[in-house]
Amino acid sequence: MVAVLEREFFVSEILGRKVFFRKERIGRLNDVVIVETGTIPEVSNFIVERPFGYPSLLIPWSKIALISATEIIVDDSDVAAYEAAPPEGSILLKDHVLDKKILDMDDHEVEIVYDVKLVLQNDKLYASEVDFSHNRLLRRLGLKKLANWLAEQNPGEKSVSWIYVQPLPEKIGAFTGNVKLNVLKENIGDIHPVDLADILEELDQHQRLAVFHQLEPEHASDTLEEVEPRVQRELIEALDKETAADLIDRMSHAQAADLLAALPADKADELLHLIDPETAPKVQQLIDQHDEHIGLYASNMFIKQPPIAIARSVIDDYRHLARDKDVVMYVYVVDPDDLLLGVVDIRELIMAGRDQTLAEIMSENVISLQEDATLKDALDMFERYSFRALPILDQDDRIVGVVSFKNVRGITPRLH
Amino acid sequence: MNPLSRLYYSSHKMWKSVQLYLILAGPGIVVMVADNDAGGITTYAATGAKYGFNLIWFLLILIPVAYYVQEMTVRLGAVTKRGHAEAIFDAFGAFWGWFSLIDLMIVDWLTLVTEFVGMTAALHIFGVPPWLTVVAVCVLMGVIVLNGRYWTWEKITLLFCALNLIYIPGAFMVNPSVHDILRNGLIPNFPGGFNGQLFFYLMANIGTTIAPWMLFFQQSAVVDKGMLEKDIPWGKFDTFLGSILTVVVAVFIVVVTGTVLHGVDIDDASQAARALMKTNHWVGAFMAIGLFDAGLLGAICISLASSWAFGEIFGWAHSLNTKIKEAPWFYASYFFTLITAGLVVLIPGAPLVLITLFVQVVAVTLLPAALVFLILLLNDKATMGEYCNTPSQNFIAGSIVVVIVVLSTLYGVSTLFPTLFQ
Amino acid sequence: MKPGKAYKLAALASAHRAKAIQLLEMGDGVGAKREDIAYLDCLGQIPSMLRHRIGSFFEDCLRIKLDLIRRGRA
Repeated sequence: MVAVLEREFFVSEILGRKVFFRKERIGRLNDVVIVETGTIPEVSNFIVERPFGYPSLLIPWSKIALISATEIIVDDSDVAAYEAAPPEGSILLKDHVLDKKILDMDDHEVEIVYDVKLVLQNDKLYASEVDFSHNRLLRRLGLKKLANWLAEQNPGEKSVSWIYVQPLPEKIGAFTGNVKLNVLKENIGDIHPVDLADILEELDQHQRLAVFHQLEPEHASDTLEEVEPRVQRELIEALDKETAADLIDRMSHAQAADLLAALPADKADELLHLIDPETAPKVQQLIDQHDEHIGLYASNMFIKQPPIAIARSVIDDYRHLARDKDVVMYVYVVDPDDLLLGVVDIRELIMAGRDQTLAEIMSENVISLQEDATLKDALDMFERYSFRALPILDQDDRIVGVVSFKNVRGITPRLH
Repeated sequence: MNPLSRLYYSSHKMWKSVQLYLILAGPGIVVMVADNDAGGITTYAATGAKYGFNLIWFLLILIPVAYYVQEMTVRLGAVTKRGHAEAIFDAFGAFWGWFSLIDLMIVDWLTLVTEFVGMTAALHIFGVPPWLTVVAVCVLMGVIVLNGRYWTWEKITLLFCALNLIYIPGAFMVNPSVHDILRNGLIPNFPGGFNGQLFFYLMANIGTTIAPWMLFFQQSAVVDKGMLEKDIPWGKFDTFLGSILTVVVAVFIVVVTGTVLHGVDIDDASQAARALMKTNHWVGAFMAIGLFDAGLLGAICISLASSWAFGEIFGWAHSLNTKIKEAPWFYASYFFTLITAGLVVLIPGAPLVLITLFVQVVAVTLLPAALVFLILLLNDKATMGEYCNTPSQNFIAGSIVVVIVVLSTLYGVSTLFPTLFQ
Repeated sequence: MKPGKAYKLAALASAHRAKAIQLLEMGDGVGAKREDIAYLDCLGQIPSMLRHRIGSFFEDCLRIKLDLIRRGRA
């Protein structure tokens, strides 16, 4: 269990920090060993440099007890047990990554790795971001005040999440190897939330959170919308409520309603209380609508025909049949008890042989909604099948109404 | 990427290499600067006094000579992680092992005596009695090694190496004629024709540049420092820098004596220092301090070279990273050679001149064997792998070894029979 | 089977049957036989418990079809 003052910091900030073994001062932090696990590298060891040519120490991350603003404390007193050189092939953040060139996907030189951001997530330390802003350069050069001043003037921080860093070259060394990205130079900084969402879905939960925490709120909000509901739930669960509410505030009402609808009811209620009081009722209304009975949006003004009807006569009669109807693009084929037998699309009707009965040309596998379906179910169905209208059946498969996409579209801007 | 970033990138890369070098620097510089030991200073001083600036070009030739020989020990040490004595023992059997060891012991001990001679003579100029010098030196050298860290030893020794550069300001203080140095010194020439005496001086200069203990010392030091194969390029650079430094110091000594004492016959460096004091007090003092420092550096390295070799052959713990309790024999042999050599100097009427001569003779018997073994070991593909000698390296090192062996043999003979080349 | 499917099959069966009757009237015994096989095939696919339910529908269909054919010929 490690205690840190801040959950995220830059590697250059902790390098050179005094290291203590319990009470005894041992040396200074010289380097950080990282292990590439999938996408975001995890810190595995600290390398501590000792004075007077004593061999340096390789301390596993699990032994680090505290990282404070001035010191790092190791929870052990047996110094000699850690005397070791980093194993062959390990990646040292300072020696191998810092101050290396960053190349984009086409091998264009982008910048220099001025710093690497480390994030603590679930007791693991991840290298989450590669920073190549001039702000960090100035800080590295010791010009902190100038860096702060410039940061105020020009807040566009330039850094790139480690998920866009290609696996480091195998032979990376103190003087060889570059840090290569898998995005183009032009795209850095405005990586599309949809892409980001795709990558987030691939990561394990801790890594995902480590990345997500790094995003600007606006970007995070956009990305949160795009990820799949399962991941949405996980992210919202892991974020503290205020942050989550802030992200939700940045979404449109409909998006917020979608997100909240995917959450467990109690969690959604909790968040609704935290978001902007002005928008909350509107969002609430939309969520409620999601649960509303589909019957409210259904119409019984649709074209019903017996199976025995002849295509020609239906076409001849169409003007008459379609008058005052809400749903005119489908002809529903019903038996005398209103049992839905099939459906005929107007296009199918026109193309049918004139002497054919509707029963011959109808699609008998009708996608339908149950009577107790909600608006949300209807929206999902429309999204999945892209029909222009759906019949609603009672439990005996009798048609009780038809809901047209046109009628529900306004409620769901995301589905246009 | 803008120019600022580029500048940062390249400067940072450079700074990083400097930092890395500073960590890995040591054996090469130390061995090369210690090469300018008391005997070496005497030789350069005498060369300058006798021939002025005319032999400076010859000293410059010694840069690659020293580099190519010593560079091989870096590779051998870093790859095999064994000292030179051990390597010879394993590769060429007990006879050559013992031969090398005993020869090394003798030549080291004798050289050590000459270092003490130089140191006592140098401090005598400042009125320090010889016994005090010997005691002080023994105590100082004890302190350097007894803290049980190679690192501390190396850093202190590097400090003494820096002190060796005292000749450089000394040379500027005598206002030498740069024009003369460039005109007479850099063009190869044989002042007064190629005769026996000139030949003697040339051989003396080579003889002090390549000494057998240097091979043993550097290889052991590389091993004790724990240099790895990946550090070899830095070790080579270290050696190269050292070889330049040693020759630069030599050149400046020649410049000093060549400017002030040209035409005076000089037998030893302390004599030169006294003579210089008459013309310029500070230059003379610098010369004396430099002589003492050279002697001290020589003593430090030579006594260690012996102890390391002993440890390697007898299988004792032999690292400066050990405490006295852990490696009693290593430290015992160190102090034994040191103190006995110091005591010899204090014996009234000891045959010091004879000893100085004898050093060259014994060195001549050891040097060919050590150098040939070195090249053979460097050609062992099985152990050296990719760090094996290339044909061109073999050619360069081979020719250097042949020349050195021939010349140092002649030099050794000539010290025994001074009339031979007159 | 859904009732819709049964209705569809019944409608198809009636169309085949009407065609068979028409061909027989025109003297094409072979063609009539082929249509009759298709007609029986369609009927055969309708599960027995649904057959009685669509019986009258089939009759109606057949009647309309034959009517259409005759009118078309007239």
